[in-house]
Amino acid sequence: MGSGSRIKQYERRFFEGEQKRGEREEKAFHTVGIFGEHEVRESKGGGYELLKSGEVVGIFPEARIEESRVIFKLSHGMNLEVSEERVRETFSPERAELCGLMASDGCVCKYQGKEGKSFGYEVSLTTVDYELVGIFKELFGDIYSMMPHEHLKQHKTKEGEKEHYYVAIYSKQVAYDLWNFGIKGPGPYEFHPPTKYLDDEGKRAYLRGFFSGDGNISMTKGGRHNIRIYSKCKEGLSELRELFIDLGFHPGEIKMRDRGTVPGRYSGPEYSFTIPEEDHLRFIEEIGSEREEHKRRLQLIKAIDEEKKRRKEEG
Amino acid sequence: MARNATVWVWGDRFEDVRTNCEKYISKKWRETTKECLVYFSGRERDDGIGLDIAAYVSDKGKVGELTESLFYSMVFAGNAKVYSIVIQLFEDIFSSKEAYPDSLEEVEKKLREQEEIIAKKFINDPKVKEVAQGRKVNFIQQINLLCEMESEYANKIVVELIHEDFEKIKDLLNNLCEELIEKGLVKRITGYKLGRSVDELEVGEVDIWGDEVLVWLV
Repeated sequence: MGSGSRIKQYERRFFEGEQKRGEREEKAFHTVGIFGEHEVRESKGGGYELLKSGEVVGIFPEARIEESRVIFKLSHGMNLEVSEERVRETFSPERAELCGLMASDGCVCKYQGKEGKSFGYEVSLTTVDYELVGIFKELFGDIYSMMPHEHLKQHKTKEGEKEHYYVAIYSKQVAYDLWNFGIKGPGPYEFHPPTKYLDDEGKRAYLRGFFSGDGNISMTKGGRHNIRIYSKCKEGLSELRELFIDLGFHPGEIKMRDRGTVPGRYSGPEYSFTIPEEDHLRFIEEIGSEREEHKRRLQLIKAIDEEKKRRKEEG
Repeated sequence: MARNATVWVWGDRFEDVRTNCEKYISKKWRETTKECLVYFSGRERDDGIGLDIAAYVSDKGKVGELTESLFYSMVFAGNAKVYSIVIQLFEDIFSSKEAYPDSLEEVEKKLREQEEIIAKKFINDPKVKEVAQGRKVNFIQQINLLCEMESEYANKIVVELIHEDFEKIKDLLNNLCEELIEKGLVKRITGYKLGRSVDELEVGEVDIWGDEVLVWLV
């Protein structure tokens, strides 16, 4: 299989032509960055080496080098971030966005098979917005190289036929991968943002995913508009609010809506917080949403806010 | 003694609403059971209007079909994310205890009266005073509107909408009501009432919005 000598094949694939190492280092590698005690070298043929105190500690096919850090791509949407301060695993923006979407509208569950002997695992999203189906499938493809099953159900309404979509992956490996990071569950609304695995890009992507499911943009009389995020899980929402603060936003305090007053009610409290007007343009530019209706409303807010700003500057 | 169970939560399949409901009813409905409450809790997704529906039913054969139809009406006409469905069984006609005596006009009148009371009651609240400092203060009140409906399937159906904008509440209620009537689930609206009085409201968040101060009463 392949062409060329055995040593050359090793060199190309694994950089393991040990007997030629000294020569190879001089010809094929050059240093592209030093981050504290770590050095990153790039091969002319592609690929990167991570060295610590002169010893190779990792070989990676892809890397993104930034001013203060280098990001190596690992598997399943995980990255390795090396900076002067630390070495840590982080979520890629794709994985972060998928986790945000799962935390709001998704479900990770274990169910018993029909005969009661075996268990099945399901990672799913139920939605009436087809655009979210597309995003879910795309993100799953990128991260796990799997294509979710898509189910479409039609319903008759007074406005004609309407659909809801159900997209699911049946995989124990994926379910545990998400559970291990506390992304969703075990309670139906329980979630925790994977804060320590999120860099700023990851935080923005996670918030976009969550907002696409459980966010809203509401226009009120007098030209005011609210950008609000909801959840039944106060703890998760509080952690999510911290992500906004980390990114320099100024989210409002968490408000509790004590829900219904119907006798025998079972609605329980719901929690929310708003993004203040001063942060709206930043929210639109840096976070946004995948839902078409959200996008339309955010564009409208942007136009109104820019007009307000222009008038203020003129007058 | 009343018994209850959550038969569906967000994340379960939509197709399971009816099956889960019928399973629970067939298992738990006793000879002494006089009425069951099917309680839907949810949120309209674009404006964040809290949307709950309570259906009180005495014919156990109709519970599954009614629950499924109300669920899809809530999802599509109500544009809602349904959080959960809970069923409670009673050994009396629980729904007869509550009356919804007002017309929509009377509710609107009561709301206007409440606005005046609120302004007087909360303007001197220390939390408001601290932020106001000469600015115009706007009180934003959480409104809980309850609407009672007559149905062939149920003893009554009560829809509750929770938001601060009454116009949005009315729009959503109209849309949902039209759908329920079209589907034959509801015959007519029989009455309304406000779920909370001014006494139950307290100052929540206080926001500065341009030259105004917004005081959220929850």
